[in-house]
Amino acid sequence: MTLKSSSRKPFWGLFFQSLKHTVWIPLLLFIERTLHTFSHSASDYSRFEIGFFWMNNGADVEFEIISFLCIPLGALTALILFNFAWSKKQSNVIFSLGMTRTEIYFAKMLAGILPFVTAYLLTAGFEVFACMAVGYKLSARYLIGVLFILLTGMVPFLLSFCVSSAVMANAGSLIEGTVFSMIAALMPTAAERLVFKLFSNYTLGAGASTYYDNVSPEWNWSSPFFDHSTVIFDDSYNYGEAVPYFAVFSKEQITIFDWSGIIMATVYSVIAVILGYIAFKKRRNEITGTFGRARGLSEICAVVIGIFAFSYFNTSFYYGEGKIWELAVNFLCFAVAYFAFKLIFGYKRKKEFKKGLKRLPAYACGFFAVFLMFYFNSFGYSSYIPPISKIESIDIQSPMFAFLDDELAANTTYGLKVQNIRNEIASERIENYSLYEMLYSEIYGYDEEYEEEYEQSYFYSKTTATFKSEADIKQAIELHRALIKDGHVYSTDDDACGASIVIKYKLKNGTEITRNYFRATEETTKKLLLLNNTEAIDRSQKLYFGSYYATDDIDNMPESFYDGSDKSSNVVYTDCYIFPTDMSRGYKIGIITEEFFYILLSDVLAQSADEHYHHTAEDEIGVLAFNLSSAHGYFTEENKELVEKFGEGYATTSWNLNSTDTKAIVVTKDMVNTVKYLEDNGLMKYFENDRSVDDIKHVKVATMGELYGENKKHLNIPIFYGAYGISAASLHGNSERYIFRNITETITNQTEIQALLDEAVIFGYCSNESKIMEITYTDNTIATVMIP
Amino acid sequence: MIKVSNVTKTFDDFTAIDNLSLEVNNSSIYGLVGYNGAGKTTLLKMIAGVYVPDCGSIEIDGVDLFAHPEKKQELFYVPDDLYFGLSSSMKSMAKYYKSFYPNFCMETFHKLAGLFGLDINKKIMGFSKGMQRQAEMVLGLSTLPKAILLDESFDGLDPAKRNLTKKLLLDYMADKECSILISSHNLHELADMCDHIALMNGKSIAIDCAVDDMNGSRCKFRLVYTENIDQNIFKGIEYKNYKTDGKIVSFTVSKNLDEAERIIAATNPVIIERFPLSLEEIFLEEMEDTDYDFEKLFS
Repeated sequence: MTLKSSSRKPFWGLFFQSLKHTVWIPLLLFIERTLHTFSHSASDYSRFEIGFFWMNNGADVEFEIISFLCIPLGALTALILFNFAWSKKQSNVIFSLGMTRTEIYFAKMLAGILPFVTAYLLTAGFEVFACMAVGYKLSARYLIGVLFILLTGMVPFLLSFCVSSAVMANAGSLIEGTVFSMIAALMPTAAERLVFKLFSNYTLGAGASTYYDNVSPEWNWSSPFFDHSTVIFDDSYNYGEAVPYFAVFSKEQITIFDWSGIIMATVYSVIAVILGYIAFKKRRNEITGTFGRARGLSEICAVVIGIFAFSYFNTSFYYGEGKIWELAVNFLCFAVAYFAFKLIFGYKRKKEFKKGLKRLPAYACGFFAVFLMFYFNSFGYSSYIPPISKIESIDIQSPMFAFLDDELAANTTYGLKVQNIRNEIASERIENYSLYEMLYSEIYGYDEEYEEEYEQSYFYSKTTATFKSEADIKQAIELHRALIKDGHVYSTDDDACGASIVIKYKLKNGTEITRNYFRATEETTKKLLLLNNTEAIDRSQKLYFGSYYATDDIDNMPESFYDGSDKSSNVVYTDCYIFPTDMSRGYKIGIITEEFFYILLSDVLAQSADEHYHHTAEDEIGVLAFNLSSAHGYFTEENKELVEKFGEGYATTSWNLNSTDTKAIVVTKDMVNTVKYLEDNGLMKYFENDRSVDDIKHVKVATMGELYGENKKHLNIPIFYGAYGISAASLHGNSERYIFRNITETITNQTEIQALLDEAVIFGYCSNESKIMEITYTDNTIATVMIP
Repeated sequence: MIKVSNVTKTFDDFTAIDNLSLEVNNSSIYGLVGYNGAGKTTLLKMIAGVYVPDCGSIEIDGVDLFAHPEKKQELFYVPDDLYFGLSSSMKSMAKYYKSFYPNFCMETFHKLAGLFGLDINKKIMGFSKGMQRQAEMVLGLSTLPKAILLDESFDGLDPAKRNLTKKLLLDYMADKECSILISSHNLHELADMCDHIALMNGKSIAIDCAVDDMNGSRCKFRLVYTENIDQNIFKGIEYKNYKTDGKIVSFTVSKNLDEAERIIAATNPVIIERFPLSLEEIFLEEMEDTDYDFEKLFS
């Protein structure tokens, strides 16, 4: 901006005239901040853990409130300074003055910004002085901290003021100025929503959510009003954890700041000022005092609102569905919101509607162009695999790796749903025993100690395996290649499998690359299961079995753990149960020795993915379930006798394996050492089924497609877990959760039922052709098995 | 001198001003007359720089106002809708205008305020409508402008103050060789002070000439015949407002008056009477076929 000599005076004249109306706002801020500084005693500042530059007691609510209030105050300042834009009387005076529009705009902007910044800097000076007086030293680190907090406090006002000014200077009425300002403030969010929602829904590998507990700190592209306030500290810094700026502050801890919010807020402010200025120069003053004639603004805001409608309805669909017809629905939502806005804020509504109709194809083309960009590889995003030489490790997150999540009580690839067969809660839990849990991603439990039920989300379990060795990395990459080759897989595809997989590359240079998939072909899903034979999974198994050492560090496990020579601790495992394949009752066999545990581990490690997931009914022996935690501190001299031998087994239907560290393992014939141990110790008898085909009233058989209309649409991973419940009546009464509710045909012929039973398994890979069989016994108990 | 050349202004589909040109010379008061919505205020707002014309140029003393907006420091616009701050006094408004008009003269301000009997320390919002107009006029004249735009500025003034204002404007115009453009829908207000009057008849200027020239530029003929006559006998004359009452015929003629009289004489009327049209009649003639409130125009 250059000011000609003849017009300098009017510029400053307008500046000072404008100042008179808004100076009270920075004055209030100055008084409040200065009082804040002087009202805190020296001891507050000298205690490093408590006081540092407006930060007190770890969470300075006052500073937070002031920063927040700066947002409406910024808008109010803009409203006062630019109210001439919607007052015919004022605009007659302002625009007839001997000034350019550039001078008018920037005189007003300066009148809004300069006093605020001056007030902030002055009071910050007092605060710095107070800090110095009690021992803080003027170091670069200290000054950077001061600058960061200073900017953190200022940018909400500046951004709010700049955006509101840009809008209000170009609006025709107060209502427009206010409403459009709020909408314009959401423009970055709308842009982010449009891009990232389309990206995550339609780009292969870019899922909307990763389910990772720790999300790395990200650049704050949007919501700069609030997200900017992020400081990360040495001591409290956890990977992926963004600590609010007001959390902890001390001399020693200020090292890392997240400047992204401040930078983005500044960038948005500058953009708002520039756009506002360009529009103001071209402003048609005849819109002054009228409603709905600020067409440019109205159009922008209508599009912003439309984008919110577009993205809102986008997220309401299942993640990863991303079909083109959904895009059409989303665009319809955009159009409805767009026209609704235009009709509300339009001057000549019929005309606006017609104009909108003409523009709609252009918007549709815009959306479609963005969609195409994302759908077809997103400039290489979908097909990129980092070179092996650059990879440090690969994390693969999938529910199939849930065997370490003991909190979910046997919710593992090796686990069977056998927990808590208690009469009083069976009705609530029956479906959990079968497919329900896999389908709806949640688990219900019963806490016996507190005698209450709980619900836990399946997705949030830590189901990540880390692949580090070169062989493992290659195998993981093979899986990624297969997923890329699959391309977009929809639930209605014949070979579609629910396969929630997150692949996260950790590169040697410290960067991370994450890809997220929700569905794969059956062929690829089987490749996922093959990861069972990797070092990473073996290591995880060892980690689980070795957890009684109370360490998660398998690398530091004593050598004796692997060779079984360490008998000194003589650790035992209690509460071991055996289930036959009809799952109708469990046998508590009391205590098993460490020796048996090593045998079990060696068999689990030796088991191939094929044996584990694709065994036949003939291979299945039954289920072993035990509780690791109960071993801790169990062994005492008094219990030594018990360690030497197993307790006598007894049948039970009223026990609970729902506690921490419970594990259930399907025993198959390939686990030869385990089988031999069980035989040698006379335990095989507990695997014998009590029930025969004579005890069955009827069975129902259906594929997943028949049960749900689509193939495994909701399954995270297509692995079947057997189930048993004692109350068919309760289950059937709960029609919402009763998966066989639409299957009316029952089989009662015993020969036919026996033939099906001969094929049925309680655990394994569930293909699209596999059948789920519901068995209803004559005593009205119910079991669910699978015919592969 | 204010020079407006080929200016057009449209509001959406509506053309308010279409290719309009006018000149207000130095030491001249130019009256702009027209019915409501004729485009007078739009034209004044464009000259003041409030509205930007779609095309054409506006100059003051040969300087384009939109290329050199600082030139507007020599122009004062008194709009129809006056603006004063809620708690402003004339004194504070004087300070306000002093920031923007380098020629603002406090001495003149005090003199004029005294002349109108206005208390410069009182809140203007407490003034009557007429007093507010006087206050604005005082402030405007205190900027010592080379061009003044007045939009319906006599509305609300009592006859004494109206005369005083007119006298002041005439004196100021003569003294400063200033160009004054004043709009009104009331012809009487302007007739006695303007040396130039333009009639706006929607979008453009229908008549633009000096007041002296306008007098006698149009005539009304009243003719008496011995028998009923056919209107076609006046072929060759561009007439308006043709009226006949049996053997008596009257109409107005605005061009080639002598030629028209010759043709009329050839039709052998018993009596030929020729009356020059007054400003009012000329205006009425231009405004015919409109829904203008004629009573208000000449009230």
